[in-house]
Amino acid sequence: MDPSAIEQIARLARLDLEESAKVRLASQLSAILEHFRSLEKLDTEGVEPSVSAVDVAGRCRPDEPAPPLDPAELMANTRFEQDRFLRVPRVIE
Amino acid sequence: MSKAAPEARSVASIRDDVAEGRLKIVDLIEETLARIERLDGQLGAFLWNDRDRALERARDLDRRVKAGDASGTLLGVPVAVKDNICVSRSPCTAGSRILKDYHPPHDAHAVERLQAEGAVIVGKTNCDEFAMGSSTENSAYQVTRNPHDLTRVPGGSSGGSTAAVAAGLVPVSLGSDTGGSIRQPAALCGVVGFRPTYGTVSRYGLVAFASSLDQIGPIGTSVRDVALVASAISGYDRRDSTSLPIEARDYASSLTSNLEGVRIGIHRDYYESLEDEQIRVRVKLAIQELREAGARIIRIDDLDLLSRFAIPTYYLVANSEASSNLSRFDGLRYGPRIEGDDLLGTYRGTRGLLFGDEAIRRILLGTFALSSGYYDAYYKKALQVRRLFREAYGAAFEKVDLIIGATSPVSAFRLGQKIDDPLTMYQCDVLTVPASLAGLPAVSVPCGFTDERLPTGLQIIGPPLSDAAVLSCAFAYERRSGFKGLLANLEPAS
Amino acid sequence: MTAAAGFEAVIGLEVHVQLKTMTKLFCGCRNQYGAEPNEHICAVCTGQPGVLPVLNERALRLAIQAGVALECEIAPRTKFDRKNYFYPDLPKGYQISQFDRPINGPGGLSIEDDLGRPRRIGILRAHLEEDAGKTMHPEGQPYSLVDFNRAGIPLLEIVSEPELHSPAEAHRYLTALKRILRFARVSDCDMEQGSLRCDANISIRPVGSKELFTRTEIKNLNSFRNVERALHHEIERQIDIVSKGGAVVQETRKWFEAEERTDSMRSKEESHDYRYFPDPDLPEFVIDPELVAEIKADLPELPARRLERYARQLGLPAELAVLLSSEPELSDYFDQCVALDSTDSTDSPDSTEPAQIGNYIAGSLLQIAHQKETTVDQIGVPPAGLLGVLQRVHDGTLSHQAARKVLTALAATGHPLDRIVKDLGLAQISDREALLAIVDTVLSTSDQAVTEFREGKQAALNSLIGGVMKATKGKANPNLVRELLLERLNAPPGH
Repeated sequence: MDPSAIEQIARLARLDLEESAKVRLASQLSAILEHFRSLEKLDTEGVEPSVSAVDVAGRCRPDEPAPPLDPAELMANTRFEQDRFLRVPRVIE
Repeated sequence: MSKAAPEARSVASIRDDVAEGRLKIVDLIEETLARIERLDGQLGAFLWNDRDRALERARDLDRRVKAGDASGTLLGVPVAVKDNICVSRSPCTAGSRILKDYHPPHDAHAVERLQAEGAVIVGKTNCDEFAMGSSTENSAYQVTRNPHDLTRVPGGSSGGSTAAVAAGLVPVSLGSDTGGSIRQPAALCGVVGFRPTYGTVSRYGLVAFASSLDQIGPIGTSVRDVALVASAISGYDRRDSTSLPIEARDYASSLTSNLEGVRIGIHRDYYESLEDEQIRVRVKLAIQELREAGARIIRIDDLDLLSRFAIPTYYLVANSEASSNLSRFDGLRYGPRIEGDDLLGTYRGTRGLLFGDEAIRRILLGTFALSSGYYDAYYKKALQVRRLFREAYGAAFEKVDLIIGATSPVSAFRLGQKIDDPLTMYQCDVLTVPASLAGLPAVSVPCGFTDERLPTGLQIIGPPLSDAAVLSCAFAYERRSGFKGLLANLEPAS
Repeated sequence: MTAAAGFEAVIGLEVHVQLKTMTKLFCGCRNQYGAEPNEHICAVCTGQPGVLPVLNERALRLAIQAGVALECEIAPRTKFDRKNYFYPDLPKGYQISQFDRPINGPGGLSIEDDLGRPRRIGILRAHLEEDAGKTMHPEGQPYSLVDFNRAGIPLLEIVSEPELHSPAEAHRYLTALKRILRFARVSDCDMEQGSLRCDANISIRPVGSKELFTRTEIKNLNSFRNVERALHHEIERQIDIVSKGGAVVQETRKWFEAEERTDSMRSKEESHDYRYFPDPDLPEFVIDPELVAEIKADLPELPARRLERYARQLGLPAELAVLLSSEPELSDYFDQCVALDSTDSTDSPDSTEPAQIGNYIAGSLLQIAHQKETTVDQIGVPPAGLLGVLQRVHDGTLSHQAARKVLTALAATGHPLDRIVKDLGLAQISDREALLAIVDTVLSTSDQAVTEFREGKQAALNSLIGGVMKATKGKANPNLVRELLLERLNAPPGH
């Protein structure tokens, strides 16, 4: 794990990191991943992954409208409302 | 270092005093807020207190009581809530700058339940950013100190909620536990902290860190108080698809100090193998107490996986889920936004600057573990090992009813001591993450002080849905040991 | 064109349809087209912290319904996965979709190939996922605008096997798919309203080859016609490249309708790593076989079956059968009329031919529906109304022309039929005595026509009929007029 690998992951995760941070993180993550690789010692052939801690079946909700919320309340947490839309920096296609 | 503090009021005594007209809630809340004002400066437990709202609520409740309605198991009880749990129209920062000034429109299910039982929320408490940490030092806002020794950490990530209880500021608080974030600080601060069976407390309103591991739970000065709050907040919530279809439980009325016939398992990783001799001694004494209470102590070896593989398994699962859960924090719809030249610049700038170091570290780890080419070796592997953990506990619980041991391998360390080495910090969780991985109920109860007068905690773990039995064992131990409510006294000497 | 150059096209289509639920896939916001921006939003579908997804029962049901209609294998256990990427209209920074355990497995549907022969096109899978919001890019502005009404609406993504071999086949596939899903009551499949979207994957290969070559993906296709045109252009572009010795680059291309070309969607990122993983907020769903059986039993009759029934059992002419089985409202309405008619009067001389019912629906009613911009079941002519009009045509009260006028009036006013007929004075004269008198009058003043008729000129009869119709201001029952004229004309002299 070197700084350029960190940069690649950071891009995927949309994180801006300074060069010094990337260097530091490269060494930290290398050590951490090294430790994590100890799992290789365990034989998990044919073992079903356990996504959750408990096995419970999924439940649905009826197709009924919830009481309407005041959209203004949700928009209250941003400064970037424009004519009922959310304004964001230009998306370059 | 910590002088004996005044005996904390119990939840039941508050409730009774209010119901019987001996105590006005508004007076109690005034007193609580004044004490917080006076003492929290040293502690840094609270991020935010809403005086006006708390007092208004207190007055409403008083009116209700006067009109003849004294219902509610938590009537009049002041409660502190960890700042990653939503209280509507109050700030909810989750200890992060990326949620600065964010006010959720919704209440968490647990908060709704507390309020339905008549509790009064007096403030939001400090925590590690997005509940990622074991010392609360990762909060973007402030440091919280251990009330028993202000140069030391309270533990994490629910450090604020725990310190507030341990300092006698509030009788009970809500925290969240993903890999030990309720139990570990409870052990380090000398109070009771309970992590319920996964799915028994709705996660609706809890800012998600690791979805398959997060649980909201209570912290208090006594097992009974913790049981009362746990009962209040448990039960099916249809807004959480992982919520178990169970009725709310009554844990308090099944508390008993009789452990006749209870089989309690011990394992060296939780006991003899611990490096800290002080903690070993305290666990040994606790085992003795439990034996004298009638329990059968049985050695088990099914958990041999624990020490070596718990941390990698937990952190791979948790960080992978977290890397995805934290993607919604981008400054676009809420929270501060750092506008870049374009959209990409805005995303990267906002997230890069407003997330703290530990959050960034975990997002990178999780993103990596899920990425193409590494998924099978890291994330999927961890999920498979998780299955092995569940099976190991399943095998153990065929032989025993409960498992006990230390909660934390160390007592409260000094502020700044472990913060520079993430792996060392992660090791603080080695005894708590296994129960999280298997979704088991687990409690930490105080089991005495070290020679340096630092609290230690005894952990009791049970099979899924044995919450009542876990709390009952804790109650029995508490009774015999007398370590109830190890409060620190922060009052200035007069 | 393709074959002439020695190449054949290999086309696969990815179609997203919005399911007809009342609320969104994972929250209780309304699934409604045409609302004000950000009107139907909540904490869940705007990705606020602390909230969680809960699956809409009806969406799951409709997904299975679609799977049944498309002859798919329905998964006994299905789960949701997170598809992680960043975009402003994707509030959580991930889309909840299905990766390796989709609700619907392999299936297929039938189309006609370019030579009119039936061909089955395989469907690889059809899975549930949530829609994203809409991002608008105002011209010349440094910002974009996002509306989250659409975020969280249930989608079914239907992936075909790459078994289509021409743009025309692709168009037919889309038409057939739309028809089946509309009949199954799963989606409106309206591209204009956005309830159906399509991306195409296309590659070319030497004729007869079985390999799959590098393909491109085409986006921004907003009509079936544009799908066809874009594919046509892309095939040409690829053939051009390969003929000149080059290689097709695997990429996504955007179709520009006005310029009639595709452009590479050059993005600054490397290709997406979606980091799919099982969504820990949504446990696995067990699909009850009884539910699937119930859905199969309740599934509305699909268009292919209806077409066959109309042609074979009801004996409708092919064109009419195709038309009536092309839209569910049309077909249901027709079926209701036929059913009502047969319960009213089986085997009686008054019972109406299904073909006649069909003709009236295909003619007058569709015209009225078109004018009112709605469907035939919504124009205000209930099946009983249509049958009543047809009854009056049979018994001679109304001519075909008059019948059309009555239907229009019925749609407009909703008045009882007798009143309409009376108000419009459309009752035909079908009284023999009355008509005979007029016939005789006309005959007496039309010597030339009579003579011509007797000489064998059938056309003369028409002018005599015309004369009677004119004398009755068009109200005479033309069949009866013809009958009476012939009676008189063919009568032995002296009568």
